[in-house]
Amino acid sequence: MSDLTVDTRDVEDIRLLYPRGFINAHTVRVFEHELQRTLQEGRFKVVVDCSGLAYIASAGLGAIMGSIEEIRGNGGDLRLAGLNETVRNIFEILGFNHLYRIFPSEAEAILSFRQGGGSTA
Amino acid sequence: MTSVGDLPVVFQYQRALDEFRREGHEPPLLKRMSELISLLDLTTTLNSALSSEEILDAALLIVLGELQASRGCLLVREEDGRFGMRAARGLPGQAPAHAPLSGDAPSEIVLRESGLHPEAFAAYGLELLCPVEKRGRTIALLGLGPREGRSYADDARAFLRSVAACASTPIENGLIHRELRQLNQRLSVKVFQLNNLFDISRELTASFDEESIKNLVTSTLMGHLMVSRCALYLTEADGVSLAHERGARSGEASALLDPAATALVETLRMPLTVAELPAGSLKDRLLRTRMAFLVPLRIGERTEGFFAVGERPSGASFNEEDGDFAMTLGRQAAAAIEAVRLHRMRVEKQRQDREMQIAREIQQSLFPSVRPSLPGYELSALSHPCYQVGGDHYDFIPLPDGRVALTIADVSGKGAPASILMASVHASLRALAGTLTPAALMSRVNLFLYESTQANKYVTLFYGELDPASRRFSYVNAGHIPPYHVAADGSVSRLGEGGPVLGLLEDATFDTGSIVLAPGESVTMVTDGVTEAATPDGDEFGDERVEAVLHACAERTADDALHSLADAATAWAGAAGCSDDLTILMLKAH
Repeated sequence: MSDLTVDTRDVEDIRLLYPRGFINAHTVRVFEHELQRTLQEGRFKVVVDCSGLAYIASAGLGAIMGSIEEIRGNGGDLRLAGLNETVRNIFEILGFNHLYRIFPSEAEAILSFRQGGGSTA
Repeated sequence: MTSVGDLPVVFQYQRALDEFRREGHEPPLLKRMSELISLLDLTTTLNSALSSEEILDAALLIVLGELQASRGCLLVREEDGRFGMRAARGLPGQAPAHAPLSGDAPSEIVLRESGLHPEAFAAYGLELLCPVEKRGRTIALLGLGPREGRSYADDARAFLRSVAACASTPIENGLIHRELRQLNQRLSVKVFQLNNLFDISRELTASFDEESIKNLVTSTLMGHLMVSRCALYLTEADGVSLAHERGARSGEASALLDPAATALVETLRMPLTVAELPAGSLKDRLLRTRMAFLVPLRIGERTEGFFAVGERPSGASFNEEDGDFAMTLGRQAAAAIEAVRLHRMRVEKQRQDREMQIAREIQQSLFPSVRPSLPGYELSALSHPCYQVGGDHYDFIPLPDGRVALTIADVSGKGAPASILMASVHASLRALAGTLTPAALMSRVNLFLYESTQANKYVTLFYGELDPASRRFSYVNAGHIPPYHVAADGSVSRLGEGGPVLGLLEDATFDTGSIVLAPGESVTMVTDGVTEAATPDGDEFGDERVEAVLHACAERTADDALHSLADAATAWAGAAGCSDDLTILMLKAH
């Protein structure tokens, strides 16, 4: 039984990632693989829906950090939605919330792309 | 409809004041009442459950309203002693976030016209600064701009002192609360760090793949330090090279050893900013790829490489805690990478050992298991394998009409490839011996090996056929050490007739040589394990010593002579030990 699954779904040109479980040192490659695949497919509008995410370790944040230059360099952005309290606290502790736009729900994150908002939080 | 009784107390007083005004009371009394109502409003607000930012904002509004000033700010003392702006209304644009105060903050109300703290008054366009004190220390400053058509007379200053007195405790509480929150946050970061280090160390000890380790440690470092690029330089056998890159890549990973990085690793003990590096190619490259911070990978007292960490998108600099975390991570990474490399070496060694074992088994299986019976002759052989499997081989092949073929060979190379080549030679000789003259046989074997082996593989081989009845020994020598023909009187001649080594030249030709073995005469065949046995200084045993031993043993049995020769060569090498297989084959006529 894996500690992490990552489902994906596309809404028009927006790629949605649904990590479920824990992103830690052991599972980060699963998450990173999906992120890399998204970029290889030329999709640069990305929403990570964290509503199924119980915990994210630094390695997971690093995977996001490592792809953000390419995403924004291609005119896209990575936005986050549905953070639980633990995950939101981690983001705030490290100042992640200053670098990424975070939305209460996936629908709002999708809407923000349609409205053509800028990339910085 | 809301009844009067449900309204906040302040509104009730406000209504009473309105009534007094209508009833025509004295203006100074009405003003005094208004101030008291404002103070009541202020204390109610200050002690409310609002957030500290909201409280400060509300407090400022109340004061501005009461004094009819259109501009004001609240500056609160921070940890570093500066006064930071926490609430503001109507300030000019570009108002600094921290008050430009030279010297101590005022401890009394100061007016602009006093000439004190001119920078602060100018920066915010203020007329008055009122300190908020707690235990004799100024913890905040209330700044106010010009009043509508009035000055800050004594009564206004008295009101402000009351405001400051009311505000001091809630502001101090806010400061303590903020300090606690910051401490709490620092603690949370530490807990998160420890969780990460625990998580990653568990993963690293289970990992046997260098790439995954590099990926994991760089991800963790980037996530924790909030950077979008990171590179890993590692010490390899002959210097330091860029081993891994994350985020935007320069594409130079693993390309080249970097002498500048190698030199840096010699001295890097603690984290260092790229700006602190001396000018040079490494600094240029790091700046070009927007790297800002270097962290050594330490194992014990050694530095095994370093992380180059990218600039922070947030613009924040790297502090000591960042360095500590990265150093700890670097230690784990270096240890894990070393463990993987040692493991890989061990696996490689095991593979080689296994291959050697197989090669040795092949070699042993090719030696003849029985000596053919040769009445009137003595046949003796020995082969000592060295620590590495070489390509020595010998064989006795019984031929029709009582003849016997003897062969000794040395295959180039070692290990499994040599033993497989040897097996081919063995098989072709077994198939062809006796069907052709020795010279024609050699041509066939040469062509077969030429066509079936790599260009640089070859075999030296001596092949002889003895007809015991006629005592004739016909032979062909394909590039092998010429065997020693020892006459009954101990004189030695060599059997060199033949041609080149086998397998190198397509159209090599061979000649058959021939001798007659009189009673008491012998032929001794050796491989280079005998002639090239060398002392620790590199002195070889050589032909002359072989001949001397054979000469001395002319009267002895073949077995005796053979072992004497092997012992002499081994004793000659002494501490140097063997460097190649040692094989001797001896045929003696009685």
